[in-house]
Amino acid sequence: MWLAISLYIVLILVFLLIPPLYDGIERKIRAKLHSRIGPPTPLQTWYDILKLFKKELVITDTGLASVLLSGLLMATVIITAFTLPLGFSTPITSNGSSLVLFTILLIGCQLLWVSLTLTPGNPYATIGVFREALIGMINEFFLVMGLVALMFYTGSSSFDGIIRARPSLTYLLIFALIAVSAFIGSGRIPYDIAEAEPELASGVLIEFSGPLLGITLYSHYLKRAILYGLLADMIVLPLTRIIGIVASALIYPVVVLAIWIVFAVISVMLGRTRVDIAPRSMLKIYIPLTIAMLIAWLVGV
Amino acid sequence: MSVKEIMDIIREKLGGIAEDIRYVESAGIIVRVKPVNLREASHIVHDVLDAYFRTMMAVDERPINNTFAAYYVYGLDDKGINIIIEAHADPYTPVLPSIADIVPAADWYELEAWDLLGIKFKNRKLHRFVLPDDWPEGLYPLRRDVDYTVRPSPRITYKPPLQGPRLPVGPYHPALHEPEYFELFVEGERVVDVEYNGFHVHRGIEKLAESPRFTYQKIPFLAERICGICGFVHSVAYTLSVENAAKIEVPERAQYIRSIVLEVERLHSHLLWLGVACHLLGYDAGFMHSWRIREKVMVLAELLTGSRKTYGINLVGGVRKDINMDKITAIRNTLAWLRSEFAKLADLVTSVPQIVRRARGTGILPRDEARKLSVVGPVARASGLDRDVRRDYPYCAYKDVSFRVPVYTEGDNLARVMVRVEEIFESMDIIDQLLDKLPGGPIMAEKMEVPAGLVGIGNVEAPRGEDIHIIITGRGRPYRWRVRAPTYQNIPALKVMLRDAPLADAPLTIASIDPCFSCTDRIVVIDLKTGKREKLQTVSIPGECGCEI
Amino acid sequence: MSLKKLLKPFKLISIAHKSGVVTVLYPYQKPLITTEFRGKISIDATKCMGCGACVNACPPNALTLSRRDDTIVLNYFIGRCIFCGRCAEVCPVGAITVTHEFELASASTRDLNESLVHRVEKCSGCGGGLGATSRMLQYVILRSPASENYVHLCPNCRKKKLIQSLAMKMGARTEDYEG
Ligand code: SF4
Ligand code: SF4
Repeated sequence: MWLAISLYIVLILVFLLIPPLYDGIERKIRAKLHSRIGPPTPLQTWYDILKLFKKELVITDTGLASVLLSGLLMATVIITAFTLPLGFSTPITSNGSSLVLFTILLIGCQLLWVSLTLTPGNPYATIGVFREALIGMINEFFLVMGLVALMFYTGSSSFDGIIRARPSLTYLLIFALIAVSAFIGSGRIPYDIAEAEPELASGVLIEFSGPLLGITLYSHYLKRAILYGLLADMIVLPLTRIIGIVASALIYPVVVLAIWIVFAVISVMLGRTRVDIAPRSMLKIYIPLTIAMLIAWLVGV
Repeated sequence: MSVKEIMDIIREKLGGIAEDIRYVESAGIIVRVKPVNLREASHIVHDVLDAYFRTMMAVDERPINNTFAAYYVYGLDDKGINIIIEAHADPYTPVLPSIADIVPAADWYELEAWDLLGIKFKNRKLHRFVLPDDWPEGLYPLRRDVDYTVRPSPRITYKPPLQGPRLPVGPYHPALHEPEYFELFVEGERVVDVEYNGFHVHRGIEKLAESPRFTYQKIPFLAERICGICGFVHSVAYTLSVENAAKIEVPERAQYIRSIVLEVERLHSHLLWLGVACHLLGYDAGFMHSWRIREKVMVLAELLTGSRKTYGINLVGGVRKDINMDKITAIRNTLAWLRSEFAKLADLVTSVPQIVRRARGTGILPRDEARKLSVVGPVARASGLDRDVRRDYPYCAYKDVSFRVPVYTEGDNLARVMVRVEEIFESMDIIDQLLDKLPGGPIMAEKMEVPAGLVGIGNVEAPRGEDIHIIITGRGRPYRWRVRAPTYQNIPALKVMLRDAPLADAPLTIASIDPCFSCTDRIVVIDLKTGKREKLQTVSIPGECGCEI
Repeated sequence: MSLKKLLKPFKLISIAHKSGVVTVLYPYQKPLITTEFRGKISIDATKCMGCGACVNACPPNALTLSRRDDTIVLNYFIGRCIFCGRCAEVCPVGAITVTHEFELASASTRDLNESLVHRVEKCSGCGGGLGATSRMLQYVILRSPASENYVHLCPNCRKKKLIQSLAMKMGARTEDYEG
C-alpha cells in the first residue's frame, strides 16, 4: 500500500511536469526530419512556458472570462490527470466507475477549451472555434464510443477492468479506435485546422499572450499527455499482471513518449486538411474501424 | 510573318482611323489615333487581331508636344511583335475614353493613370487607387511640374466607420508580412466576393528615376529593388529597354551571363514558392526541404554575383562580373546535385495526400477569363495560354537555347504547381545549354550613348510572368520609365479564382499566382456575422509583393 | 490506393537522413560566405585623394562629399550602402576595397558613419583655397608632368600667370607686374 502511494506521488509529479519536455523532444525530432538543428535543448518548451509566465498579463475586454476559464481549464485538465492510472492502478482509479469519471472529465476539458477560445470574441478565434467544434464533435463521439466499447469489453466501468483484459483482435481494434481519436483530439496536423495558421493567424490562440498563453499551452500539452497516457495504459496495465507494479510504472512514461513520438512523426509527414474535407476523411477511417471492431467482437476473436 | 506583312494588315484594319503608323524597332508598330477612335482601335487590336494587352504607359508630354500621351502596348505573342496604340489628350483637361470594358486588363492602368497623372477616363468609375486616401486632391505626382521632393500635408478625410462588430486590423497588423490586403467577403467558410486593396507600399520609384539624383547607370540598382525576389529581372528589363532604345551593342558574353543569372533567380524563386505553398498547406517538411535545396542556389548566386539577392551586377551595356572556369564547374556541380534532390522532393511533395487533395480543382481560372485579363507567366500557362516571353519575344541569350514551355489546361492550383515544378527542370537545362555555348569576349559594351527622345521596350520572363518596362529616354536619365511587374497583371484574376471557393483555399490560391511570396499567407477577419448573404463576413488577406513601383 | 503510394510520404525520413542537419548555430558557427561576397567597403585613407568619383557613382548616395572651409570630407554612411561595390570600381587610385564584413548592426548611427577628412591645398600664388587636395595635385602631375607648373595655382592666379607669360613673350618687363 505504502509502496503504491509513494510511487503514485512520484509518478503524478513526473506526469504533470513531463508534457512540455515531451513536446521539446518532439520539436527536436521534427527538426531532424526538417534537416535543421531545432531548439537548443529539449527543455525549450518548458523555457518558453516559464518565460510566458514572466511576462505581463495583457487581456482584452473579455479578459476576466479568459483568465477564469483558463484557470478552470488547467484545473480540470490536472484533475483529469489524477483520474488516469499511471501504468498501475491507483487508489483513485481502482474506484468502481473511474473510467466513466475520466470520460466525463475529458469531455469537460474539451468544452472548457472551446469556451475559453471563444472568450476573446476575436473573429479568427471564432472561426477557429467553429472548426474545432466541428472536428471535436465527430471526434469526441468516436472517442466516447471507443471508451464505452472498452467498458463493455472489459466488463467494468473502472480502469481496473483493463488490467484483466486479454490481448485479442477486438481489444486491438478498440485500441486503434481510441488511438485515432487521441491523435485527432490532440490537435495534430492534418486536423489542427482550428489553429490553422495561414488563414486564421493562429486561430483560437490569437488573443492570448503572457501567462494566459502559458496556462493555455500547458493545459494543451497536458491534455495531449493524458490522451496518450490513456493509450499507454491500454498497453501497460495488462502487463502489470506479469511484470508487477514497479516495472510497469517505470516503463509507463517511456510508452507515453513512444506514442507521442510516433504521432509526431506521422503528423510531420502530412499536410493540413480542409474543414469541409476533414469530417469526410475522419468518417472514412472511423466507420470501417468501428464496423471491424463490432464484427471482431461478435465473432469473438 | 515579317514586320512588313503585319504592317500591311494593320494598315488595312486601322488605316481608316490611324493618324500615323510607324515601325520602331526598339518598341514595335506604333499606331497613333485620335482619342475618339481609341476604343475602336483597341477593339480591333485586342479582339480582331487577338493581341494580348501587355502594358500601358501614360506620360506627361507637355514639355515636348503639349499633350498627355497614353501608349497602350499590345503583343502579338506568336509573332513576337508589339502593336502600340498611341493617343494624346488635351494638356489642360486631359480626357480619354475608357477601354476597360473592351480590354478588361486595362482597368488598373486607367485607374493608375488617373491617380498619378490626372488623366480622366470617360464612362467609368474612377477612384483612388495608388495614392493614399489623405493625398490632396488635384496633385498628380507623376506630372513633370511636380517636383519629386514634394511632401504634401495630408488632406483630412472622413470615412464612415464600418457597421457591425469589427477589429482594427490590416493593412498594418503584426501578423501580416506586408501591408496589402484582399478583402474576402465570406459566407460561413465560403468566399463570395473579393476586393483588392493595395499599393500601401508604393514607393514612387518611377518618379525617383526621373529625378536628378539618378543617372542611367544608377537606375539598374534601383530597379533591382522593385522586388525582393525577382529583382534581377527588373534590372535586366530596364537595361534592355535602354539598350534597345539607344541601340547599344551588348557583348554576347554579357547576354549569356545575364541569362544564366536570370535562370538561377528563377530556380530560387520557384523553390521558395514551392516551400511556402507547402507551408500554407501545413506541410512544413516540404517547406524546409525545399528551402534546404534552395539554399544551394542562393550560395551559387552569391558565387556568381557577389550577393545572395539584389545581385547588383547589371549595368546598361553589360554586366560587371565575369564567369570563370571555377564558377562554371561550381554551377555544373550544383545543378547535378539539384536535379537529383529536386526530383526526390517533387516526388515526395506530390505524394502527400492533403497537398494533392487541396490543390486539385481549387482556385480555378478558366481559359477565357485568363485570356480576357491577359494574365502572364505560370498563371497563364496553367490555364492553357501558351505564353512565355523567353520564347515569344526573345531577349538576352534565349534565342540560342531550346526549351519546353509547360502548358496545362486545368487552370487549378495543382496545374500552377506543376507548371512551376516543370519549369525548374527546364531552367536547369537552359543553364546547361548556356554554359555549353558560352562565348568569349568582353562583358561590357564599348560605346555607350543614350540620345534623348527615344522609346524602348524591355521584357523579361520573370518567375511570376512577363515583366515589361518601357522607357522614353531623356538627358542623362529617363524622361519616363514605366515598370509593369507580372503580379500587376495577375491580381485581377484572383477575383475569378477566389470566388465561390472555401476560405481555407484562399491563402493557397492567392499564393498560387506567386505574388512575391513573403507576404501572402495571412488573413485578417474584419467583420464577422454568420448567416445571411447581405450580412457578410469580411476577411482580408495580405497579398502582392514589393512589386510595387 | 495502393499501400506503396500510401507510404510514400514516409520517404521524408530517408531524405532527411541523407541530407543531415544543414542549419548552423549562428553566430557560434560562421555561416558560409563565398569568396565573392560583397560586404561593407573600406576606404584606404593613405590612398584616397578626395576626388569624389565614387560619390558620383554610388547609387544610393551612401558616399557624400562635403567642403567645409579648408577641408574636404568624404563621408561613408553604411546605413544607406547597398554593398554594390560600384565605388571600388570607379575609384581612380584603387583606394576602396570591398570587404566581407556584414554584421554591421549597431545601436548608434555614429558607428555607421565613417569619414575621411582631406585638407584643401592653398594656392601658391595668392594663398586662397585651391579646391583640391595635395594628393589630387600629385595625381594630376603624375599623369601629365607638364602640368606641374600651374597645378598649385588657383584658377585666378593661373589666369594671371598665363597672361603674364604671354606678355613676357611679347616683351613686357617683369617689374610691370610687381609691386
Ligand atoms: S558599395 Fe555601392 S552603395 Fe556602398 S558606398 Fe560603394 S557605391 Fe555606394
Ligand atoms: S574615388 Fe577613390 S580617391 Fe576619389 S574620393 Fe572616392 S575613394 Fe577617394
